[in-house]
Amino acid sequence: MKTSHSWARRTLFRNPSDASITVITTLVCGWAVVSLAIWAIGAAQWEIILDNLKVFMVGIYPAEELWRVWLFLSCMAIAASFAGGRLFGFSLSSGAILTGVVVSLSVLAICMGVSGAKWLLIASVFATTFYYLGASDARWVRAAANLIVMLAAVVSTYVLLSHQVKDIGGLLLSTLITLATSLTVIPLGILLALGRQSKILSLRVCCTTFIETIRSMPLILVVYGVWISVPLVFQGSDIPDIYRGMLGFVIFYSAYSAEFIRSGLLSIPPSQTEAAASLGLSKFHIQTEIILPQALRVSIPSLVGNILDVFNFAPLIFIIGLTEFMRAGQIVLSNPQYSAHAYEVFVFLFAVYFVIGSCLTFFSRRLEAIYAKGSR
Amino acid sequence: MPNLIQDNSSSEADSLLLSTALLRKRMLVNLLLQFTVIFLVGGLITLFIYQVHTGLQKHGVEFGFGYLASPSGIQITDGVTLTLVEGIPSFEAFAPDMSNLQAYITGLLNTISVVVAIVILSSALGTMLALGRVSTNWVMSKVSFGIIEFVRNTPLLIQVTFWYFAVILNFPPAVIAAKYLNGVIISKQGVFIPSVELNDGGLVFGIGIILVVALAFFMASRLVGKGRDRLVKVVVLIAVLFLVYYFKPLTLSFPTATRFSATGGIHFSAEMVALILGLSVNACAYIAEILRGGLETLPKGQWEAASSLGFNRTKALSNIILPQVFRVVLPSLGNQYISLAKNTSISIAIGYPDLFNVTGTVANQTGRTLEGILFMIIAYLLVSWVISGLTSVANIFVNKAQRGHR
Repeated sequence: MKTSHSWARRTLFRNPSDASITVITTLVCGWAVVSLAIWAIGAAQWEIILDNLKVFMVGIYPAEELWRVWLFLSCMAIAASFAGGRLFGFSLSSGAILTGVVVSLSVLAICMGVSGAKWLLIASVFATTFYYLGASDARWVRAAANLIVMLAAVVSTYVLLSHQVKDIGGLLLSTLITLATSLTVIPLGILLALGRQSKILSLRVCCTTFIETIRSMPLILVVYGVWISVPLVFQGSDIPDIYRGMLGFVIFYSAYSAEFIRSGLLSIPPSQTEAAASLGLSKFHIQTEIILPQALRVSIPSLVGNILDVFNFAPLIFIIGLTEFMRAGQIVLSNPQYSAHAYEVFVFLFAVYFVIGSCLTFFSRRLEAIYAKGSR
Repeated sequence: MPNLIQDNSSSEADSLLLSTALLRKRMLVNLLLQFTVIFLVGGLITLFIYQVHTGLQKHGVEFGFGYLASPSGIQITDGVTLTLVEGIPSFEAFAPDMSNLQAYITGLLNTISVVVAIVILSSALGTMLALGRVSTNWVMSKVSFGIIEFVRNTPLLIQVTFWYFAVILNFPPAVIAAKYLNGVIISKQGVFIPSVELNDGGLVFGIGIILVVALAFFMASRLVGKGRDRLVKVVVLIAVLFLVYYFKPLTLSFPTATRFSATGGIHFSAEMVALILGLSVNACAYIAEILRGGLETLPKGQWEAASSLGFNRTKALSNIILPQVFRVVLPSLGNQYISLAKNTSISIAIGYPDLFNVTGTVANQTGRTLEGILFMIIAYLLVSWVISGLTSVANIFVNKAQRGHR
């Protein structure tokens, strides 16, 4: 009691002005939270979210083909939990928490009558299994699981993208853009970063020009420019908008990831290269075996932070006419039947983005902590 | 023994020969690589240009900048453009019979004005948020943390659309809003503030007053002792207010509400207000994080030394801590300003006529998309360079000041 009293003295009521700040801020925030809660429970009509859930999630994707989406998402969930198991190691409690969260989510989805919720249940069981497989100590178990996960990811991606790509929209489109961009920019970024540090002058100049030009342009301009010029360059071929948009994202973010990786490369002392050369390693092996593993360890947290950036800027794909998650919200609101409920839609969009963004931020901070521990 | 020496020197000569051969080979390889890279990149660029050229020809479009001089025929709701009035460049509101180039200039000027407003507003808000974040007050610190995390973890586009569609457009119309505040109208149609205009003969009086004030300050700094100059300044200020009131060199023009909007005063359109608010709130969270990082890297001894000199927390912050923090974080702040300048291009989502939006409209009218993109690339490059140049100038300036004090 006494400690809490002194804590309050120290942190809340140090002097009269401090006390007044405390009281006013608490009152304002309390009023905001209470009025939001009253509105959310009483006045808000959440049915419009439930009615349009399909539009929010997948856009105008045909309902009878939704199994492709579920398959893809399940495989991605399995891959993610496998990676989580490998990264964070075996821990019974976090596995139990993971299982609890996914199972309760799928039960909730089944109760709400989301079509295909049974996929979620199956996926959650598999995901938990693969989490433990990834955390397993036996090398062959991990290798086999790795192979299965890779295969599943490739097959499910093919299944999803082989049919009606142009109808994909909603949150699925944001996820696809984020996944494709954040995976492809890492190899591109490595190449660009190495090119920027290369001894060959012309290569260095080209890479630096590319990186600096892209970095001074807005994303929306790059996406729009790429979207315009792709059909001019590849004449006669009918490349869907979604790939043209992704290409713009990849070109834009490869410059950023190159800078993240370059900062990692710069943090490796040159004596490492010299030591490796004195051991007789070839230039290629010096980079791939000695320098890059250490440099990537430094840049991985910022590369994961970059994923959040891609996800947060994915709504800009509206410029080429694709219906992304946020645009889906605006389309729902453009229906006169729902247009009076702008706040419900905005709160839903903000909530979903905030939850996903916070998870990514949390993940990036955990990774940073893990790698900081490893390098000590 | 001599044999050994002989042997040694010959091996040295050998190694020298070997190294020159190696060097020559390496130079050759290097040169070859240089040319390969140049050839590849040049080839790719040529291929790109050739493909774009033939692609455009198929659509019957010829790449060129001749369209810049022809009248645009578009409406731009906000902003001014450069015109030549009898050979003197001056600013004028954009009209549809002006050229496409002038439309681009309007867009560019709109972008620049919005960027300036956002830089000022977001720096002020960001500093406040950072101070709240490091405050000893638990409630203040947690609330600031919540705001920063919320803003950083949600997309900018949804924030800006929220400000526009859910906040600004829900304001009362100008007729009703005019009754709330005297002289300032904050309404659906935008924000109207009183404008300051010169009266007849105001220029003469204005210059006279400025001269009097300058003289008074000069005399005060010379003649009055150090402790008194604050009193003198207050007296001069009162005198200036009296002079301005008496001679009326300037008049305030208050906005008056009309049926659908308001006239008079300075008008900031709803789109502009939403864009400035949305981007400032977004950027201020990032600026607050940058400043917090700077505050945390500062050694704790600075705080302790300040408090041992009798500074309280507020005075220590404003006189000792913040000046040092700004010096440290200036490069990151510059990067943040560049990124917010680029982010103004999302104004197309709410319809503010910035560079990107105007170029898009012109492209729709003329079909000149690629030329517009090229123009935008150059314009955004220039904007980024100007900001980073200003940041480095500021950096040199503050670091010189630091060296001077030592």
